[in-house]
Amino acid sequence: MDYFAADRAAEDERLLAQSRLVDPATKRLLEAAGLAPGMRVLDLGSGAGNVARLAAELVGPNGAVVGVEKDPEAVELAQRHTSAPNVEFRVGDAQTLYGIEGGFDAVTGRLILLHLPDTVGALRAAAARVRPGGLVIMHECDLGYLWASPQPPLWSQARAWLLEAAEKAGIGTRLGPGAVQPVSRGRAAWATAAGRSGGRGRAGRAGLGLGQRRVGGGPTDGTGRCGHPGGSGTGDAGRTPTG
Amino acid sequence: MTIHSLHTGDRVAEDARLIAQPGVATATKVAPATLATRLLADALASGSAMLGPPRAGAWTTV
Repeated sequence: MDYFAADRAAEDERLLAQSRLVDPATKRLLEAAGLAPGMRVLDLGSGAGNVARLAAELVGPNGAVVGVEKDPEAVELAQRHTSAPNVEFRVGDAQTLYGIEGGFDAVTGRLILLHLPDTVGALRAAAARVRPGGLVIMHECDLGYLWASPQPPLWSQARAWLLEAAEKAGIGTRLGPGAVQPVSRGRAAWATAAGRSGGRGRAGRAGLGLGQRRVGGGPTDGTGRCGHPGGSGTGDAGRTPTG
Repeated sequence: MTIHSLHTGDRVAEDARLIAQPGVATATKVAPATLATRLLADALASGSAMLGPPRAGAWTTV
């Protein structure tokens, strides 16, 4: 995906800084979901590579991680910041995963679904790359929250700018089944695919149509801004790298 | 508060092009070079509590 930021270096630094805020919660999520040593993981919208590196820690030297990211510059950044030999970054489309092989033990993604035009389609494409019984793990956020309480004037203005810009760019800003509105198609689709419990509770069975055997989830710590207008890499969530 | 203000300010500043392109606000109005420090000053002056975004994690087996 394309990134919003005009200043690439600043955006790269933002992604790395964001990872320091969000990584602990993502790591807990991956652990709770069952990411384990030896697994082979596909990370959607790998951005700066933060989630891929977290996954690599959990799968260990006998596992492997493949990060897929549309932005070649983000792929280059991720490679530059990754020394683990079992992590690979590829230029590819997280929406279609065209050209990505199957047989992964797990798919991960952080702050990526809100940037995709067809979230259900993306989840189906991801699930098709996972072996039977494998995992699909997503970490997403809600952009509609209040940034401060009480909200000072400049914060209100900045928030309004970002939300309006996101809406005009077609980026969904809300999480959960209440987010069924045209600009939130990505999040609405995520809510449909991941469950109907409201985005802050446990995710229920739904939409993938793949015979899920186990679902889980819930709120995670919320600190810092949603990052990628695209990624796990903090994947990280702008034109948005994710992850 | 400082870190959150600066991080948020940087984020908005970096999105200034996104904000400007669809005509939401001009770069001059956003003033990205000083936005982070102005946000921090605004937060300190108001004594507000800074809040992070709610995040949700979910997983399933296939």
